[in-house]
Order: sequence, then C-alpha cells, then structure tokens
Amino acid sequence: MTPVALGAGEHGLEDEGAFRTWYDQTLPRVYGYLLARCGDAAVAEELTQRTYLEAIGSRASFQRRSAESTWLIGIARHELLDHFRRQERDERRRVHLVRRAQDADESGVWDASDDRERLMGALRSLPVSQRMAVVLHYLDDLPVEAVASSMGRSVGAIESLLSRGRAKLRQQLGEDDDD
Amino acid sequence: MMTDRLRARLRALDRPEDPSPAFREGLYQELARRADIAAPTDLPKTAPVQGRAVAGRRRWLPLLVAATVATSLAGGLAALSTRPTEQACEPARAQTLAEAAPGIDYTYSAEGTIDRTLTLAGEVQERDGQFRLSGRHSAPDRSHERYLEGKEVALIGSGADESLRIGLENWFIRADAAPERPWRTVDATIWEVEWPNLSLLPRDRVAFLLQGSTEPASAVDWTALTAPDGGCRLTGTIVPSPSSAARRTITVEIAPNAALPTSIHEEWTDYQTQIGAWTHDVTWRFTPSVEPVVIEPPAPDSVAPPMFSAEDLETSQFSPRMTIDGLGGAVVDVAPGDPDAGDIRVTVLEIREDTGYGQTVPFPGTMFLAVKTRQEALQVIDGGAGSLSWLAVSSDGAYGGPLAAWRIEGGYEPILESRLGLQPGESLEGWMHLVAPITGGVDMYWHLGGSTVEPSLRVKLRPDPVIGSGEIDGVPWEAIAYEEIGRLCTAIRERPGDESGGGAACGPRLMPEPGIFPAMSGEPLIAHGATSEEVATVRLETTAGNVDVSVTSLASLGIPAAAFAVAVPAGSDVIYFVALDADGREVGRAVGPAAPELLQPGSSP
Repeated sequence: MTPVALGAGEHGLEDEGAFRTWYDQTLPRVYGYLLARCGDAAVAEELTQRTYLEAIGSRASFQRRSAESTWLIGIARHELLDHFRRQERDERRRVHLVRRAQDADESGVWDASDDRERLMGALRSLPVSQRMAVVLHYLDDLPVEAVASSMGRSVGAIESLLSRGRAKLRQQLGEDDDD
Repeated sequence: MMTDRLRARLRALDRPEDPSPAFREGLYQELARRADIAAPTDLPKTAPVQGRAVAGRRRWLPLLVAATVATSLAGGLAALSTRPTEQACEPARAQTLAEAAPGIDYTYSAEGTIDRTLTLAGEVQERDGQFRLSGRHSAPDRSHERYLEGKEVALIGSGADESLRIGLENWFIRADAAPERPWRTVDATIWEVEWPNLSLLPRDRVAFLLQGSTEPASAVDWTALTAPDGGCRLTGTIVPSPSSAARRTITVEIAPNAALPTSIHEEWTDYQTQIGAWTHDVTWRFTPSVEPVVIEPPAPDSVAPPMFSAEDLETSQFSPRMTIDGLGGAVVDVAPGDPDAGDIRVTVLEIREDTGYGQTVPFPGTMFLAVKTRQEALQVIDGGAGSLSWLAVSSDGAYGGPLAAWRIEGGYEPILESRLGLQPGESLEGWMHLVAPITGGVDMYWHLGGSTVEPSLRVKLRPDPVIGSGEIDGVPWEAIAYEEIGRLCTAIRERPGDESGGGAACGPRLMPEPGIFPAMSGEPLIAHGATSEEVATVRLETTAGNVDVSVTSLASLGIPAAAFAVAVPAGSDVIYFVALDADGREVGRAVGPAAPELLQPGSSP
C-alpha cells in the first residue's frame, strides 16, 4: 500500500512546505484537544508527540475517508486513553485509601480565578477512570456504549462512573446537585 | 438541565492551543527527520493497551474447587464386604468387582499425568503434572495414601502429600507443615480446596474407578474380552457430560479368578465451559494383601485445629471483614479509628442456587450459588476497579472454600463472577456466610486499609426500610433508607427513566432537632431525605401545589430519625420542603430548587 501523503496532496512528505503547513494547521487542534483532557501541559506535549509519531508511522492506514484532522484526533484519543490506562494502573499500585469527599482546597483548584483553569482542575481531581468516562462522553461525545467499549467495561459501569464523575465535578465547581 | 450545563462548560475547554514554541519546533524537526526515513518499524511504539493482569494462582482456584468437588463426590460409595465368586469374562464383571473391592485389603500404586489447560480472560495457562503415589486400603473404611518423592508440585499444589482416613475422619499432612503439628483433620463431608489432590482420594479406589464415579453421567459402557491366559480385559467408556466433549475410558485387567483387578488404566478428558480442559492418563496397580493392614491414626496432640471454628468466625483472620448471613445489608468501617479510610456497604439482594452450572459439568450433591449485590459495594472504589476476595463459610463454621477474587467494575447490581460451589449437607442448612476480607493486598492494586486493622467485625444485618414507593408512567420506583458509618442515607433503589444512577443522599446520623435534610433525585424527580424523629409529615410546596407525605420511622435501624420519599408532580419543581409534626405544626423547613432565594439573576442555566 502506498503511504498517503499527509497534508500534501500528491506531493508526499518530501514536500516540506506542504508538510509544514499541515503540521502548523493541525498542531493547535491536537495539542488543544489533549491539553483540555489531561490538564497538564507537559503530558499534553508528550501525547502530542506520540500522536504525530504514530500518525507518520501509520499513515499507510489513512484512507482519506475522514479529514486528516479527524484522523489525527482519533490517534490522539488513543494516546490519551493509553495515558489514562497507565495512570490508572499506577494509581492502583499505590495504597489507595478511600477518602470521603476530598476538600478541593487540597489541590489548590480554587485558587484559580479563571473558569477554564477551574474546569481543568476539577477534571484533574477526578479519579482516572471517572475522568476517562467524562472526557470521552462529554467532551468527545462518544455514546456510553462506545465509551464502555473503549474502556473495556460494561455500560453499567460507565454509567456509574459518569454519575459519580458528574457529582464530583459539580461539587468541585460549586454547582447544585439536582439529579 | 444540569447535565447539559455541565457538558457545555466542559466543552468550553475544547479549543485549539499553541504549545510552547520550543516544543513546536522540536517536534517538527523530529517529524521531518523521521518522515524522510519513515519506516513504521523505526518509529517508537506507543504503549500497547494491556489487558488486566490475571493472577495465575488465584485463577486456578475455581478450577481446583470444581475439580475437587467433582471427583471428591465419588468417595461416598457403599462399602460392601462380599467377595466375588469366580465369574466369566463379561461386562457384568465390573460391577461385581466394584461391589467386592471395599471389603478387600489391598495396596496400590499409581503413576501418570494430569495435564490441565485453563483459558481465563484470554490467558492460557497450562499445568503438567506427573505424579506417583502409593496407598493402602484396609477394609472396610481405612486407607492411607502417600505421594512419592519426586512428584510434580504442579499436581499437588500446596496440598497434602499424605492422607489417612479412618471411618469418617480424614487426616492430612502437607509437606510444609510444622513438624510439631503435622496432621490436620478435616471432617469427611468437607473438602478442603487448598488440597486439590484430595480429589484423588475416594474411599475405595477400585470401586470408584470401576463405577466410573457417581456423577449423573451415562452408564459405563463396558465391553469384555477374554485374555489368552484366561484373564479378562474390560474396557469401559463413560460420558460425564453429554453437552461437552468430556469422556473417560477405563481399561481393567483382571487375572484369572482374581477378586481384584491387577491394573486399571484411565484416560479422562474433561472440559469446563469457557475455562479449559484437563486430561488424566493414569495407571493404577493393585495387589491384594494377605494380612489386614493396620492403620493407626496420628497422635491427638499432633492434629492441627480446624481452620474455621465458630470462634474463628467471630475473630476472623481477615480484619475487618463482613459476614453476610442471608439477605440484607452490612456496613463495615474498613479501618476503625482511621478517619481517612472509608466504609464499605454491601447489600445482598439475592442468594440463589445456580442450576445452570451443573448442566455443563454435573456435580451431583453440590449446589452452586450466585450472590447478587447492590452498588453500594462500589462506593469505596471511586479510584477505579477493585476486587474483593471472598470466602464462603457454611453455617456451622466449616470451610466452604474461597472464591476467585470478585472483580468490581462498577455497575448497579454486580454479581459475583465466580460461582460458588458448596457441598450440601448439615452444614449448609439454613444459611451460609460470605466472608469478604476487605483489607490488605486485594488483587494487588486495591487496598482499603492496612493489614494491621482490627478488630474484626461481625455486622448485624437487617433489611433496608422502604421509605417510599410508587409508579411513574407504569414503572415502579422504590426508595430506602440505610445507615453508613456515622451517616444516614436515603436512596432510590429502583426508578424509571434515569439509568445514570446516583440518587443517594446522606446526612448526619444524628439529626439536629428539628431538622429536615431533603434531596432530589432523578428525572422524573423524586424527593427524599431524612427528618428528625418528631416529624410526622413532610410537605412539598411545589410549583404545582402542595404534596404531603408521611414519614417512615427509622427506629428499626436504631436511629432516632425518620425518612420520606415521594414523587414530585410531573413538570413541577419543589419550592420548599416543610417538616410538620403530628399536630400539623411546622417544625422545620428547607429550600427546594425552585425557592425564590435560589433563583437569583444569572444563576439559572
């Protein structure tokens, strides 16, 4: 199979100008996508790098059935999920004492006045599995069934994670709990 | 609604962002370099998605339980003392020998292999076991069996390597037993799954082999062939499970005029649906004893105490643990004295016999139980999936056996993944314990407390009081109250519409007086909550008018409080919750979502 030239029409990757344009146009979307979901610039950079490296390596599989940016975001999502899974495993390895509702003050989330920072802080404060579910369902608009499939869990488990994630986000964001 | 608002706020996060210039350029240079030489194999691979690790040893437990139960049941054969008369070589000879064997003193030896293949969660595990043993049978009810040096540990596992049976009592000794207490006694009706090799210990080996076990399988289809020396060769086939490919063939060599076979060769392939297979290829050799074998029991002071006594259940080695006697709920503070550690609540909704299991692999006389629990069990595992390890203990404290760790992935009504096989009898009449050790190294990842936590708990169980119920659009709903450590909670147990769960609210266990702690759950809305005990009625002042609901006393929980639950009229919202005493006097009030003081400019979605 002939590799598809990313962002370069017929010119291929050797066309540096086209490649540069493609990179400049897609990078903010990919990086922004990852930053919003992982809430950490360093992690977002690492995942962005992985995403592009994977994209170049697997460009043969890109069939142009979707926009390149969509394809890239798809790869980024896979990288993000892998990241969450690694985090989850690391988290489980630690002695995990169950705590009652954590004080948001502990993480300093409330020090930030900007709503975006608050949102990202609230997301970061979620346990990884809840964060995965919330990100995939509410930010990526994946149906619950698709989230369950991505996370390798049952639909019921995802519903439960979403419910608890919502409750905790509301708590963190100071919203009323009305469902 | 709230979810939409939350979604909208989260969506605001999604916008293009520029990384640092240094990162941007650095990555570009790297990509450009790699693109020119792009070969996928040269690229760094992202971390593969790993399946969850399966603890191999733990995963063997279900099979060992099953295998033990399956074959141990063959032990209850009637001991007959009649000696066979000389018979022609014909299929009926097998039955004659089987009936006579328990009355004959003999020694025996065996060697062969037992290979097992398990496929669990996509992981294939293989165990090859070569073994040799020798034994003696002393009619009518004594036997001594010992595995010989050089045996494969894989077969024996952590089990006993020497056994002694006198009457209904079994003594076992394991290789790593303390020298001063080498023997351990186990009641004949209880099978110790830590010692899988006990499955090879029927009361009478010859009868067991000739009868092909007592499983409700096809009758043994024997064929007989007279040997040139006047002896007899019987070949039998048995199909333990018509629904699987399980099959057993037995070849019996009988010397002329012998009352006992000289050898029995068995080949046995068995399957357990979705788990795996194991094959036996074993040859047994028998020699009649001229003199009766004297088998002495071990000295009483060398017998180790039983693993679980009634006292053990009160002071379990697992600390803390919960004990579930039948249906009901239990709350366990996983680390008393540690305010950071949470509590776990498990409610058992149903314990039923799982009859489907036995249809695949017939285990007569064994009941398989399924235990359904409720989601409160999950409240402690917000950090991700976890698991509980369970022990099943029968009501007399006898040991039923461990289960594979119950993996909790969330969900509303998690069910124990593994079926629990128990051999019925006196010990199972009435009820059983499920003991969940919930601290320490649970599934390698999940710890609820420290191993030093104590004391053990024995939790009194009681049904959750129903504080309200009804029907919305033909779908029933029901609300309950329950106690957590230091807290009183109300929750919607079943409800129409909203599948996303939630719906539980908790307040202090001891209500300020007077007081009302309301909550709203779900869509359609159901109002529920707790009140102080002098409250008799809660009035919902809604945008569609007032709704009065009588409270339910929680005296049955030993809590001086009451609780209520009532559906909010469709399309309306609650302005105030008003607590009224028996005389209709207002004794408390709480604002609802539609209260004017909450509807300030800018606060609505």
